[in-house]
Amino acid sequence: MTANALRRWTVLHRWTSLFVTLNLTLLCVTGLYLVFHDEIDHARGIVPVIEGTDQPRLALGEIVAAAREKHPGWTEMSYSEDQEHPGLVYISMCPPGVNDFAKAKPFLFNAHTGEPANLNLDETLSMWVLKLHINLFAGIVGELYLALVGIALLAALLSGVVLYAPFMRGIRFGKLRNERSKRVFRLDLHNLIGITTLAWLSVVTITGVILELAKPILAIYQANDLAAMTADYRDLPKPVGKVPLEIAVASAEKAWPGHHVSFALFPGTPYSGEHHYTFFMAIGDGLESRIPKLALIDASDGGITVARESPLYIKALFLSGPLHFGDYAGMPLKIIWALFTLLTLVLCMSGIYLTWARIRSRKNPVETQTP
Amino acid sequence: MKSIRQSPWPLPAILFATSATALILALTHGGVWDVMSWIALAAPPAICFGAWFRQRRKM
Repeated sequence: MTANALRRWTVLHRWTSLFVTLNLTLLCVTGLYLVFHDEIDHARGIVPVIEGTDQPRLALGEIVAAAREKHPGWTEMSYSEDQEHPGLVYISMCPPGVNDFAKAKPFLFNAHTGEPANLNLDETLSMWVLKLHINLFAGIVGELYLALVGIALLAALLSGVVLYAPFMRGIRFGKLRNERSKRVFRLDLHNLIGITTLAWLSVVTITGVILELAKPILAIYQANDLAAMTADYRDLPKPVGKVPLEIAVASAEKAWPGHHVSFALFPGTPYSGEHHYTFFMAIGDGLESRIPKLALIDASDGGITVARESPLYIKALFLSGPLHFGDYAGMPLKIIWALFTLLTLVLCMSGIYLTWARIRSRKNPVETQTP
Repeated sequence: MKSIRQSPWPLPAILFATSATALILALTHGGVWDVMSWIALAAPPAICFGAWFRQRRKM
C-alpha cells in the first residue's frame, strides 16, 4: 500500500470512528440492557399476570371488540401473540383520526378474559430504553440518523480492516505489547478487538441499519408489492363490513396449512390497504419461523386474495431482528452477545484514547514519547 | 518462515468465517447446532479477554 493510500484510509477511519464513537457507546449501553430486558423485567416484577387461564380463549374478534371498548374511537392496526406468555395478545391501536404506525400504541390483552393486562408497555423502563436505542426519542429523524451512524460504522470497520495489516505486520496474533508504551498497548488491544469481533460487529451493524430503515422499506412494500397485489381492488369503494379476525385467520391458515399467525395487520392501515387483512404466517421453530409467509385475506368475505412468499427485503427485515438482538439461541448466546457488546465499548474507549494520544503527541512530542 | 500467528490474516480470517457461520447456524438450526454456535462465537471474546488478562498479569 502506498503512503498516500495509507494516509487516506487512516483519515477515513479516524473521522468515521469519531463520528460513530459517542453514538455507538450509547447504543452499546442501551443494547446491553435490551439483551437482558426479559430477565431484568422479570427480576423487577414487571411481568404480566394472566388470569382466567382455566377459561377457554375468546374468539379473536371478541378480543378486538374488547380492545375497541376499552379505547373508544381508537383504530386497531396490528395483532400478534406473545410467544413467551401464552394467552397474552398485543393489539396496536391508533388514536382517533390517526392512521400511522409511528403513532400507534401497543396494548396487551388477556386472550381468556378480554381484559387489559396489568402492564402499560409504554411506561416500562424497557420500552424507554428501546425507544432511546431505536430513535433517540426523535421518531423517523432519529431512525435515519442512527442508520447513518451504522453506515459510518461500516466504513470505519472496512477502513479498520484495510489498516490492520500494515499496523500488525510481524506482530504475533493476540500479542499486546505493553513494554513500549500505554499507547502501543491500547493500539494493539484496539486492533485485536476490532479484528476478532469483525464478523459479529458487521452483522449487528448491517441488521441495525436494516431495522432503522424499516419505515422506508415498508414504504417500498406499500408502493410496489402491496399496490401490485391489491391492484384489482384499487377503484373499489371501501368495504362496508369486515369479517371478524378469526375468520380471516382461518382463511390464512387454509392458505398456509400448518402455519400460525406471526403478525397480522388490520384492513385500513397503510401496510394492508382498505380491503385486506395482511397475515405473516410462520411454521416450526427454525429458519421458517423467522421468515414468515404472506397472506392477503379479503376483508369483505374472508377469501384468499394472495398467498405467497414475502418479498426478499421483508424477509431481510424479519431476519434482522433476532440477528441484531441475539435473542434466538438461549441464554448462552445472550451472554456471548453481552461480551461482544462490552468488547465494542472497549473498542470505542481505546479508539478515543488513541485519538487523544495523537493530539497530545502533536502538541508535546517529547513528553508523549516517554513510555 | 512466518508462523500462522505472525502472519496478519489467517487467524482473523478463520475467526471471521467461524463467527459468521455460527451466527447463521444458531438462527437456522436448533439443538446441537446451538451448542456448536455458542462455542464458535465464544472464541473471539475468549481470545480478547484472554490476551488482555494475560498481559495484565505480566504487568
